[in-house]
Amino acid sequence: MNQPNPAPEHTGSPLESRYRRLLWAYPGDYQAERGDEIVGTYLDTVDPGRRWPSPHDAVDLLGAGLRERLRGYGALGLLAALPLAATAALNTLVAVSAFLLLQVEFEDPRFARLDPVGPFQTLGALIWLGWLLVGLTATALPGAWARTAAAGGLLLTVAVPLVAAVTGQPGPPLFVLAPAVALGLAALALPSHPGWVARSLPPLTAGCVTAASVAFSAAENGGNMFTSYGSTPEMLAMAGGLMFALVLLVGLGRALRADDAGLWATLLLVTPAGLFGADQLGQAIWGTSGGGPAPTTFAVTAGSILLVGAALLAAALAGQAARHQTVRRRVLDDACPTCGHRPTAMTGT
Amino acid sequence: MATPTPLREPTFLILTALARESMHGYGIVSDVAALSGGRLALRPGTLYGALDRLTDEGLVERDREEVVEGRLRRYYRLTEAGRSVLTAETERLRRNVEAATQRLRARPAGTRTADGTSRGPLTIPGTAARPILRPTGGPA
Repeated sequence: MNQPNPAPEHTGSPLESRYRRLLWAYPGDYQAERGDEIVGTYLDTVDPGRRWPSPHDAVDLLGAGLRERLRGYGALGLLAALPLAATAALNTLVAVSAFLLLQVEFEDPRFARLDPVGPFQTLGALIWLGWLLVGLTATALPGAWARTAAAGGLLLTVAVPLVAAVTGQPGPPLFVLAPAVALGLAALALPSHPGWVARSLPPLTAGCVTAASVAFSAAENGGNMFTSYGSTPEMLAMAGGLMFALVLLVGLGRALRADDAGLWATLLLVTPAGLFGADQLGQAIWGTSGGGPAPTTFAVTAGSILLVGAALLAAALAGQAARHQTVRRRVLDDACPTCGHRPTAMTGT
Repeated sequence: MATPTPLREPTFLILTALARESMHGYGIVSDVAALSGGRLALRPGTLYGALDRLTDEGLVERDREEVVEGRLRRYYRLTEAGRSVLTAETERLRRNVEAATQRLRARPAGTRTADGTSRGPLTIPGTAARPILRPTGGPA
């Protein structure tokens, strides 16, 4: 076994203080109980001469602290829900991307009264092509690569509107971008080892949406149901609702097997699903001006949806924590009917 | 005690590290790295999360504490339940290894590959041209 670093080298050093600061993600009582041990082990293992914790160390401590908090609330299902929510988010993005590319971006730009960007109506086509590429990556490459690709897709979703604003080129509207960013954030938690179902879904989803779009165009017989982003809010609201309903169904199915991860995933996707309907909701509440809600109206609606989503998550966590405490107290209070033994609280948990 | 599901590799290696003697955090990190040939580098945040989970499951327990040069060392040891789980998992893995070894040994020497070249019995599929699959019902 390698020898640990000699204690005096790092004791009381700036490095130790920086590791201690990273413990803030842990619950207070856990920090008091285990903080010295965790920081001591880090100081034993780091390379001599190091002055700052590495980014991997920071992610490790912040992630472990969050996990410890959720464990204290009896809500580890929330972490288990992240890969499922990410898979649902990515496939919704793939579906929306295929739809918007075929039904909007490739449409004649005169319908939208825009100067075309190459063969597309707006620069938004780059975002949708990017998410289709992320879907392909999730199908063909390891999970870590898919997560990196999702980070790239998210970056593209944020950067393209800025580039469009700076260059004066047309870009996609906010009511499409806001849910795309929310879903992109969720997609960052794609699973490390996806099963064949998760790998099959992106091409299947893109294929189904493409087939439906082609069939719809043929059925229109020259009509133009979708000609610009302005004609898509209803369809986007339906996409958000469908995603929510499907994840809820999966969640209820898993709940029957005493697995609450699917229900946590549903809760995580409330906000992105709600943002898909923000435009419609804004119009219903505040009316329309010139074919759509004003940007401030949309911002207020989207902000309200974000607050409601966060409040629902906080309420679910508080409820779970209260339930967990009650069950724990009951277990600790109950003496064994045979020997009278009372279980003691586990230290460090 | 039987394991309901196979142990994940980090969990298996943590239990293996504790099988011989009680260890503190740094000792476990070093031993797991050595056992995995340097492939698995546990970080302390992850390690203590895993130790908490294993403690909750009754597989690991605290042994003793000592302070060395001002640094707290808390030692952990396997419980009887942890030893049973590790034994069961080791037996499961041993059976898998034996089955795979027998199959590899039973493969006739000089099997011809799809490109017509002759290869020895220990060619690893995926690292070179894949060997021709033996028809179902052949010798095990």
